[in-house]
Amino acid sequence: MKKGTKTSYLLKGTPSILLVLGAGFVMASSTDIRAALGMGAAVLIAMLLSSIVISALHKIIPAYAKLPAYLMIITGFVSLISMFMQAHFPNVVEMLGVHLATLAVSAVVYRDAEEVADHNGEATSIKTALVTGIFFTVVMVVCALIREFFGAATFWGKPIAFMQDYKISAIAGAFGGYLVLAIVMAIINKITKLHHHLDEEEEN
Amino acid sequence: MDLKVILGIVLAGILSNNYALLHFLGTGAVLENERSSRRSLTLGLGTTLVMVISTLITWPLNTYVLAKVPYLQTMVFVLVVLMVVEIIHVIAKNILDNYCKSDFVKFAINGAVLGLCIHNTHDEFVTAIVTSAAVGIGFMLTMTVYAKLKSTLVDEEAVPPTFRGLPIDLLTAGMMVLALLALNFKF
Repeated sequence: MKKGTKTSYLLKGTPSILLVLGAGFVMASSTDIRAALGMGAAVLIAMLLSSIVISALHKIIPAYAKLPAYLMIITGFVSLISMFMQAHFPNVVEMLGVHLATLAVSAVVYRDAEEVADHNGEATSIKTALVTGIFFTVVMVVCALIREFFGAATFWGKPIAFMQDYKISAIAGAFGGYLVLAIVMAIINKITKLHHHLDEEEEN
Repeated sequence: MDLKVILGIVLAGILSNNYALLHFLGTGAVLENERSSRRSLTLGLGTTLVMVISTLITWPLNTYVLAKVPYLQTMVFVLVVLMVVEIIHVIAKNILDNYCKSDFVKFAINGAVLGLCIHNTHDEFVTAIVTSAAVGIGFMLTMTVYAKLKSTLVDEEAVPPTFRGLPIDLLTAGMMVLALLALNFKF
């Protein structure tokens, strides 16, 4: 395997497209690390399970019924995850609110099902779902760390004493969501370009 | 419900209760939008119609049927939204296909519509319907203004390379959020 293939696969081409589609739930769940981890796990599991089922069934589902069938499969798994989280992590579900349910119609999960699981076998679908899910979780946790530390002066919900006088509450609010994700995305862009540059140099 | 309350709900739908910008519901659909203002307006109008009709169906369903089986709420609501979107698409196929290049179905099934249907279950029926229309108008305006801002104001050449693409789009949307928050203080 070529050195750095895994990182390149994660960062080449897909992040900005994926993040545009998932920007809503990334910003909504990055106010708290617990919420970010909960949403990350929900996205990962929903994508993984729906990818497995869709890649197994895509040949027997007629083309005209693909949209409703895929949406129902995804919604079923999201409902299951929501019920599981409600039973074991009620605080996280409360933090996520309606965003956990709206994962059912998220373009990220649907597009993954439509573009990857619909054309590939289980192995490729599982790999893509895992990589995308982990990528989203990492982005959400990084954004949550920044927003919680600078915006609310807390970590894992517990106050940080020395930051109390310096917190910027706007970062914990809606504007902070856009600002922090923009900065994180710019850093990802920089790393992606660096990787492209290194790959080109390696090829030459 | 008097006119003052209706006006208040409509204003809230556009400003403080703006789903796409402040509640992060349907944000992806707005950020992804690269259509002209006219197409955005048509899509927004279609989505507003979907929001109102979906609420008209989901509210009674939730109150009278799903009260005993709340765990089916998401599945039933997604099914209703899907049905409404398909029916509107069939009825207004010519108009929608001319203006939206047949991507209305995938566009209209978004987090804002489902989130609104779930939020509305906590309100009275009439309030829920007015809220749906107000949120729809807010969503449509946000999408149209954002599309216009993106096409006219953002000069990609003037943006540092690392901030091109999604980061500058997010910052543009962030500026719209600041403007909305300022208007909220004003009203």
